[in-house]
Amino acid sequence: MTVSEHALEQAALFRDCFTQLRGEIGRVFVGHSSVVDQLLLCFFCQGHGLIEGAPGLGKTLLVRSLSEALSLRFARVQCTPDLMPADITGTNVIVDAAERRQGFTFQPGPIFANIVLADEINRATPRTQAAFLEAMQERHVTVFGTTHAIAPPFSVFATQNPVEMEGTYPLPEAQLDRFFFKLTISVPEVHELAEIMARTTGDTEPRVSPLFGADTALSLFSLIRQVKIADPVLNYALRVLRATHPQVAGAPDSVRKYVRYGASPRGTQAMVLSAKALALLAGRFHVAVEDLEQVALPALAHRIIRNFQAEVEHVSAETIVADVLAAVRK
Amino acid sequence: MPTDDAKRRLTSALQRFRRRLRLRAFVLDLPVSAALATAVAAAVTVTRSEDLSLRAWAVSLLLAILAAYLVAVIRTPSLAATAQVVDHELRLQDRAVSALQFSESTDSISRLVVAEGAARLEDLPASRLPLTFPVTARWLAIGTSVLCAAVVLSRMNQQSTDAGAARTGPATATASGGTRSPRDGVATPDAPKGQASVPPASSPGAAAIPPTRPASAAGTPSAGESSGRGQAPASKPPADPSIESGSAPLTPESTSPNRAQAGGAAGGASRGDGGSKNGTAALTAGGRGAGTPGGREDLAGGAGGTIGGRQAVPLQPNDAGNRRTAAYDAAYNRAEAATAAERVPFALRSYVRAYFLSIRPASRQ
Repeated sequence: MTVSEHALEQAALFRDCFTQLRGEIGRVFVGHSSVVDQLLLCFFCQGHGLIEGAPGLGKTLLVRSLSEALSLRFARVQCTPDLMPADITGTNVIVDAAERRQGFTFQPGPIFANIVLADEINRATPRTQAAFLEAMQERHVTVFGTTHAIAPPFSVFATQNPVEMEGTYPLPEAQLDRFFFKLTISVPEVHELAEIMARTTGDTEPRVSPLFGADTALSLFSLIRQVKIADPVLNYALRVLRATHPQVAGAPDSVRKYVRYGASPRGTQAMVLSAKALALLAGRFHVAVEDLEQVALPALAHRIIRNFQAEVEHVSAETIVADVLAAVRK
Repeated sequence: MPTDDAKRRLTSALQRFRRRLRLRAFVLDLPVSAALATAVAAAVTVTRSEDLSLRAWAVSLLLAILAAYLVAVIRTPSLAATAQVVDHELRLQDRAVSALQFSESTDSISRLVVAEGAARLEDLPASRLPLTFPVTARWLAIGTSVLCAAVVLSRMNQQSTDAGAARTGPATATASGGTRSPRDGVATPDAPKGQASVPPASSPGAAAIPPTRPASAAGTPSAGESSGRGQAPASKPPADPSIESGSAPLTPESTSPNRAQAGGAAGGASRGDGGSKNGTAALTAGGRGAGTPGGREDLAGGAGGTIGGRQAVPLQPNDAGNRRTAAYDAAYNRAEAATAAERVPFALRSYVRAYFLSIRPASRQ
């Protein structure tokens, strides 16, 4: 088998895995197909996702279904104000060793899983939220001066409730920037609600079957990063990023008026990487501008810091991103 | 090698689209250059008041096409730009751009990208890139058509004026530096400045042929003879001694019956020759029979225009020279009448006139 044939085979495998995962998650999570796709893209690009939605919309179920379908190690952290960083990262504990000697041994926390669900992360204190930072960005944890690497695949999916803001600690911009995508789950349609009722109130509850393990996932991660992106296409992504900054010439009026600070380069990284995965899904080994446009909203919206005027006039970040795309496309 | 083959196929396909883009640029530039060429040709036609030949128009259009092609060649996009245009217009999802950029790479993914891009481009005909005319080209075409129509109509109008003037007889001629024909009163652009035209003969048979003959600005008797003669073909050269004497020459042609009014013109000429007025005024005055203060006595007597003039001297039938002159005059009159009755093109009239000038007998020199 030649190298090219191997690449083609891997690409076909990726498409199959993606499609099967989508179907498997769809067995328990009804509707919101775009959110499911974005979640899978986020995982295959080894990014972290922030899922926002009202209570009871299936945020936790979505992430758990993903981990079950992948047969990966899953950990859930229910964030509360009294949650400590050590509860997440782990700590050194005294254990009895051989020959009646005692010593400190590192006891890993729930962050050392393949898929971590930080439920209602905005209820944790900033100190605890900061504990996630190193793990999410550096993919390792430092406890008592010792660095412990987190084995791939590793993705953190945090949820937050936009309604109940009392007693919460909204994530700072720096931490929001660590999230690859921000996924928003809205209220399901009537037919979706009917389907949810039918599935959850019957005598049998659908369950997710494991499809493949970490090895397969890791090989697919590598394939995604090999997808090519031409300079004009990359230039488009960079122009989109620059257009989110109000002080840059060529920024649309909505950006100048409503944006305090634009997206960081991590936004472009997220766009390009997820666009590569989308290109593979489309059977291509190169990124197209259409791929970038498709992922611009979940990649950039949470990275744009709006000003007070935007909040007063209820101008959403999604609207601003749409304006940016329209301006750059001209 | 497959990579080289894919690269070659990719380059070939892109070259095909590149040629198409060059053609498109040519089509875009052609209306502008053609309109410019037409406008220039029309401007030349109007300013020089002469018809441009079909060949000249064709040459100008040919130059316009050449200019448009040169501009198109200069503006032909590079392969990279061609790939971008093809991707954008044929919705290829950046296949061409990616394939072109990674055609030099040797890794497996790059090979796949190049092979896929080349295959896709090869399947597409270059005609998928449409040759669209810009909106401005339509307006240019309309404007050019209107301009051409205006020029053609103006030329046709001028020709019909020529013919109408010929049918109705000679109009009042003005000696405005040769801008009016001495015969038919129609503007003749080729008459040199400073040359006098002469008033028409009162004879209804005076034909309308715009002269190209030079007439002396000094009010030469020959001009007076021409007008007075009405249909006399020849003109006197300025070096004629009669000019210096300020008198009308007594030549055999003055014996023509049509020359009954010649004295008026000659008298006018002689007056202008007197030095007080220019040739124009003198000729006009002579045409009106206004008398000639500075003219010779015998011509002054004939300066009455239609009422004056010398008595015609009959020709001797046995005189061969006179016979030839009479035959020449008759042929000239017939030709002049024919060209006046028909709508003869300007060039043909000039040709006929030149012919008669070249064969005129010595007595008419």
